[in-house]
Amino acid sequence: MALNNLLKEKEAVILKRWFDAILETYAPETANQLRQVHDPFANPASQSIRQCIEGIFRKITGQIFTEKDSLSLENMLKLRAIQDITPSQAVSFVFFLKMIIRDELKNEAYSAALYNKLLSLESEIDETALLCFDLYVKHRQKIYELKSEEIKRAAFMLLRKSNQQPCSMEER
Amino acid sequence: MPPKLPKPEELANVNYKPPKKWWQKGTAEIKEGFWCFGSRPKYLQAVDMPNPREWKPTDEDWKLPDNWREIFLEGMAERLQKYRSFHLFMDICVRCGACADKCHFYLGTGDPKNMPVLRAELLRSVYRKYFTPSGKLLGKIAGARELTPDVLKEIWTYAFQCTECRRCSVFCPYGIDTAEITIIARELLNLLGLNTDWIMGPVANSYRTGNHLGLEPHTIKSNIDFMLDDIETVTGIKVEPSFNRKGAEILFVTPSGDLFGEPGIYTCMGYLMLFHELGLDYTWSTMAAEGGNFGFFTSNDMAKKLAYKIYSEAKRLKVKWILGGECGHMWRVWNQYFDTWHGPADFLEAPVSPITGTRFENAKGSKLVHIAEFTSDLIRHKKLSLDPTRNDHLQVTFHDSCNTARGMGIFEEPRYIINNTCNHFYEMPENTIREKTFCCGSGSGLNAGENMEQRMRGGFPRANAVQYVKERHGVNMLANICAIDRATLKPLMDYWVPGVNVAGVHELLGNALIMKGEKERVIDLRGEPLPGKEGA
Amino acid sequence: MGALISFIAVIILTLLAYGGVKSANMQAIFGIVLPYAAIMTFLIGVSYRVIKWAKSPVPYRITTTCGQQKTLPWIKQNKIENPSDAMGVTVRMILEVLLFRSLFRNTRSELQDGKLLHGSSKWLWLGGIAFHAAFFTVLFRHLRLFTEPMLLPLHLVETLDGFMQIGAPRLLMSGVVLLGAAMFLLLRRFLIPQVRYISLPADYFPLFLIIGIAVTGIMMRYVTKTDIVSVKELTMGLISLKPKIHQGVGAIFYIHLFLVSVLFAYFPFSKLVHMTGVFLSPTRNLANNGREVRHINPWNYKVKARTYEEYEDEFREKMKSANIPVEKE
Repeated sequence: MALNNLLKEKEAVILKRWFDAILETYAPETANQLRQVHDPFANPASQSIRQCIEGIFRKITGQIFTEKDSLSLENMLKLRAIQDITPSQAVSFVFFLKMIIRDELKNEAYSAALYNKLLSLESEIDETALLCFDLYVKHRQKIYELKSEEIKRAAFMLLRKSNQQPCSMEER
Repeated sequence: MPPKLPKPEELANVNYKPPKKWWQKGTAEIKEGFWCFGSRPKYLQAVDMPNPREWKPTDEDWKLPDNWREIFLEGMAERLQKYRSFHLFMDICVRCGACADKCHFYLGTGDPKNMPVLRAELLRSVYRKYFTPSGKLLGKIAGARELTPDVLKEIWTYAFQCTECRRCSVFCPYGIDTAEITIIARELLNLLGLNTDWIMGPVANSYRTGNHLGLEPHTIKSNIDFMLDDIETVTGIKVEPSFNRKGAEILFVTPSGDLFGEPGIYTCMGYLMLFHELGLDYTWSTMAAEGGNFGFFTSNDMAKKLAYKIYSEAKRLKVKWILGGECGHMWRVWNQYFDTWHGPADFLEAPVSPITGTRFENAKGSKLVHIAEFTSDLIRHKKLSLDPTRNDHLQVTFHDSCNTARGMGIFEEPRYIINNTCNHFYEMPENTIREKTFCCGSGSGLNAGENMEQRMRGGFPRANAVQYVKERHGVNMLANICAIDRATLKPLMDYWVPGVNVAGVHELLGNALIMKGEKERVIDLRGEPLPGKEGA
Repeated sequence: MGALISFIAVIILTLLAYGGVKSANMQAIFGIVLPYAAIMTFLIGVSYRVIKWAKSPVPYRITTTCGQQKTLPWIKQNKIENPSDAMGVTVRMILEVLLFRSLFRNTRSELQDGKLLHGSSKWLWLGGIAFHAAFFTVLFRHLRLFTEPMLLPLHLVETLDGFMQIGAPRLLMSGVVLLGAAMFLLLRRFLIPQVRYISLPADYFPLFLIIGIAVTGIMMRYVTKTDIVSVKELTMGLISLKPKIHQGVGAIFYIHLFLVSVLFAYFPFSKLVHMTGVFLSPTRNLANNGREVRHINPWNYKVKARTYEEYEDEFREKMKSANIPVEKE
């Protein structure tokens, strides 16, 4: 059986295990809250995680990776970027997928073809992890940018008076 | 902290172990990005607050006075006798959990101590230990805790992780208001000199200069002069407001954020244009140039001290009534505290709109009228010429500010103004507006820079709802009637929902307002081209 | 752990009553002394609590407003959720106390990708209201044990209560609902992680106690068929202050009575005082008219604030140079 079909068959199990594994990186109190509440407005964080991992799963199994999926990936990393976790923890969630897939497929008969496909799939996961790292850093930078922008906005009049940026309306 | 990465075998078998109960351990981790700097001593000294010293929340030793426990507990006893709300709310919570998922900080962090019930329990556990027979007798079994330095730190951490937004109180079957508990907790912490720098600085400024930013009178005037120049550039009309003028009919007071920061100044330009167009007989006061009150985030006494200038200036300038600008907590204070503190306002007259003749019955005691009430009355009486197409490039949604929503109930007035000044208005989902509105995540003095991550987490539910209308209706403008919102929703949007801008309702009005004798407008108040005028 | 402590406590209480009556013949203690002591504790304790709360004043009008304020005449005020007069407040309080209005607000239904997500939050309201309504019905029904002849409303309630017309003696719904709702509230505490996390032993104890009371009550009526005549003689004795112990009343009755006594005695020391506290809640029982009518704070005092004179003294020159009028040239 082709790898992608195999994975699609196990999609529900894999996603559930992956979701649970991600929650494990939170404090146990927090994890269970995220697990239980399904209303997207009452529990936006868990919604973000779900959408993100579904997107990544589609991406690596060769299904259509929509713009919405890439947005959800971005959202997930935004969330990671403002949590009290180290950078490695922040992107570690992608690698969980590797381990879960290996574990789920351990009872399958491995043909050489399947094995090769699995390797390329793992490379794809690695690539996704790198992409996530980029996004994480981007959003960390964004936080610092927000801080400096906020100071500029708060001192808007001061900056204008001293003829610094932003310039007066007349000159624009 | 070393990274905690689960091993494959752990992943294969996720085991949920219930964590220890909060009342069994009880220490607070003060996490990076969660906390605001401790207040510098000079600010405390400037307003005679106790225990000024250099300290940092992450320090092991907070340099508490030797008798800190007595101070705290005596303070608690005093407030139990002064506030029925506090006394009652310490006793009657049944921990039903209805409030748990109503708090934006809880939703954004998932930290159970951010559930309103638990935030209150942190203080309640101390109350039980020292003020109830069962707590004294049974200790931990009754949920009672000693007041240790760790417990104090925990109370501090979570008292400054609550924006006093009152959303939980809407859903509580007994009306328990966590804001009341946070307010008292902060008062008690202030007895020990444990305020944040971001709150204490504005308090000290406001005491000396009348406003949070520390703008001196001539600076206030020159800032407004700048705005007048901009108004002239946009409309060709020279607006000439007056300052500290005696005998004007109306004193206008707005938060100082509208005088200095962006995008607040555009809202302020909206006020200036509106009053000019009406030919309103009003004046600014350079001393009462701050409707906001960071004293409210410090202690009852401090809030009262900082509020004093409003009536005293109204009296000195012999105005008839007071008109207040767009602000959140200013209106909570003006609606629920002000007259009690400094009334009766018998030196003023019951407010009547000089343009429409409408009597503002709901403000006849305190003589404080909200500008959204004033303006919507004007529009209703067709006293303004408006061209909503100037806002046609905006897909607008409206954020109800916590304080004006749950401490006042001003819902229809700003919506009426928006609907008359904009052609495209979309509401966010029903559970996230009006009395159920989500906080910006930065209210009650938490809008510092050092806790940006915390603010982004706290504002997540709000941003999530904006994202929803952005996806469905292409919303690109988040209107509001609060100065803190104008300052803090901008970074929140930039982070979570890029492409959504933030504006006060009177900025939208200023753009739509057709003024007598104005030139053809090609730019809006921000200097950006109006729709259809891009080439002009 | 909190649940276990509470459960064990209720078991011990049950055994205490059983042992006391069965082996130590302490019927007089459990049937007379303790009920009197409990009711006294309840009355004095609850009054004490209410008086203590009432002694703390309400300095500010801090209504939680949940609807449109009173404003311009053409804007419709939400007179109940944002009351501006006594009438509105009264209706708001009635809705709050009798129908748990705020809990009912707990609505959660949203369209997500075209799929309507239902919130489970109404369940708390339903469980809560079923529990309290059943509790008060059961309590009311017990008045039959204390009145002779039986009052008319009691007949009515009992008829209504037994409308299902099942079994003999007729199954009364209130008892079943009380037990069911109490179990539901207990299960909530076990199953919902947030609620489990916040629950204290003091939250489990009254639930176990009430479940114990309901179970023993139901057993007496339908299983052991306790001699109602003897029970009524005892209760009439209690109420007429001529208490007398009757033989022929089984141990289960004493367990029931003892648990009830414990509940009453425990009441003023616990969160159960929310029953009276809800009426005093300042966020609900005040009108939102702080700008219309001045609210008086009994401990209001003057504070030292900065005066205009001090302000002008500091900034006079700057004000003059900016052409801002000053008091003293």
